[in-house]
Amino acid sequence: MKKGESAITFVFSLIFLAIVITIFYALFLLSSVNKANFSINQVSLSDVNINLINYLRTPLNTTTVYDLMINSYYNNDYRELETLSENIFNRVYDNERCPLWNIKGEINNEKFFEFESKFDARKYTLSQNPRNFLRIFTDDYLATRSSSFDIVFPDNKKAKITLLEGCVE
Amino acid sequence: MNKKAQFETSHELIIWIPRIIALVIVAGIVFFLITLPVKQSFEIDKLQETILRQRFLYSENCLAHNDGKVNSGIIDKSKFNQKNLDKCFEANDKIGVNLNLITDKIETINLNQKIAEKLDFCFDKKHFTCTNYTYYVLIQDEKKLESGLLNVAMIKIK
Amino acid sequence: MNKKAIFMPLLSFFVLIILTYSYYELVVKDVEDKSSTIGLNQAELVNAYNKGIENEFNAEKAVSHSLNSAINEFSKNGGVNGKCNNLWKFNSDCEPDLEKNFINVFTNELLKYGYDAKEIKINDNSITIILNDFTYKKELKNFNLEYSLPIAVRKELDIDLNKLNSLKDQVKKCLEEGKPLNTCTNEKTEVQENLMVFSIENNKNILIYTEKIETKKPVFVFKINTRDTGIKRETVF
Repeated sequence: MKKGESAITFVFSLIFLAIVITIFYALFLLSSVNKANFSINQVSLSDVNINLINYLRTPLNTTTVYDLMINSYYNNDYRELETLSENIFNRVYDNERCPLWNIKGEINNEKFFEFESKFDARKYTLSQNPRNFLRIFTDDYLATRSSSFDIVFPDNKKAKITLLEGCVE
Repeated sequence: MNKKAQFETSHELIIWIPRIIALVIVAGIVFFLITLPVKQSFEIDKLQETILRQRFLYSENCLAHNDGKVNSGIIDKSKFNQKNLDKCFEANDKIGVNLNLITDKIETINLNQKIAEKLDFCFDKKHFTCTNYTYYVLIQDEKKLESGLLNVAMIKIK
Repeated sequence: MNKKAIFMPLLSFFVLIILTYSYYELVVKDVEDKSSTIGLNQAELVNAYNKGIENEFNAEKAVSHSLNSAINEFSKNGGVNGKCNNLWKFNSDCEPDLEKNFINVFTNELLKYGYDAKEIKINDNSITIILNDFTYKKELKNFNLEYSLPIAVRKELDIDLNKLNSLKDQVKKCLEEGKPLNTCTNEKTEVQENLMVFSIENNKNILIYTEKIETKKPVFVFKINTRDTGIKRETVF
């Protein structure tokens, strides 16, 4: 009887131990204590910033994209701006390494335009944690970075233009 | 010591051997679990490359156009040459750089050529740290301002 | 339970305690992570430059929009104070000091965008505006950042002030010499009782943004009361 008791206790303890270790393995793995990467991302935000300011400054005959944006807003016609934005950003963000880009404009938190790349989200996970075990079920994960510019519009309106890029890490 | 006591002592010892082994294994597993979230080394090579890369566009000693004020992000075409870029980057002889200025043609400049040549080996993450980024730039060429791309690929031997 | 069977349960229990405590200390608790400061100073430095670029860009655009509005307003008022009703009267509050009056109108327009110019100069039909320096300060642990960027904008004026000044000089000379005004200049004039009305169309388009965009060449209209020009002609006895 005592031997049997000992054996049962041993087995149950082992099972309990295995469960505890598995649970904590999952918890530690999924924890995003990866703060060292945070600062690398902070620095690389400037890259997006350069792309955004140059986009606004892009010359178009005698005007710039900024002027086109204003004209589009006042005429409520964004077709030319959309075509131009696609031409610019599809060149910059090639499909393989950086498949995602998104540019939008807001005035008083109301969006007045938004354009995006043709991007299949199913191929990627947007997890920031490279040790996320879900990665084994997907191809790559996408690191997204965004930069915003507050720009002056005529009649002292303020527009916020945001560029977001998603690149495979 | 009598034989019964002797037998019991050696029996106890035999029972403890697997327990010690189990203890060591469990302790090892626990130690492994605890070190999982702890970053044991900081790889700053990518950070270093990112900062150096930005210098090309922010510094007038590198590519930034200056018309009385420094226009970061706007490239002065006359500054995109081997001599100027070597001088701009001369403090960093451990990093190879491949710069491609793309307009309707592609102009390429390599810095620290011997290291830059190894860019094809970037798949070997154990020995090399690589970064690659394409900027959307404006290029000031005398009086003409046009848009283009600047691709900056960097490699550092670990 | 016998004593021999206590080992594994005890071990499991201790493992649970250790792992729970470790999880709390490493993950749940907000530990000051020194690694998060790596690169943060550099990021702030570049951020300062980016803020400077943003400010410079906005200053330039605010100046452009203000100039358009100022030219429109200035032309509408005939280059004098709004209270003068487009009437030029020399040596009075309605003196057509065109550059000074334009700068006043422009300054008011620029203030609407939150910019107060330190200095404004007009020279050879171009305007130079020196704004207050952009300053950016950041205090971090072991790192203090202070960035100052002078902001100056220079633009060609879309109104021909040189031509208007030349016209003003011709008109003043005419008045001093007592000659009829409509013989002094080649500009379009109209007589309304004792008022001589001059209309000069601007040679360049400006953009006016209200609910829609209006592209127009503003017409500069001013009047002179031939009976009260403000010019005292010397009488020779």
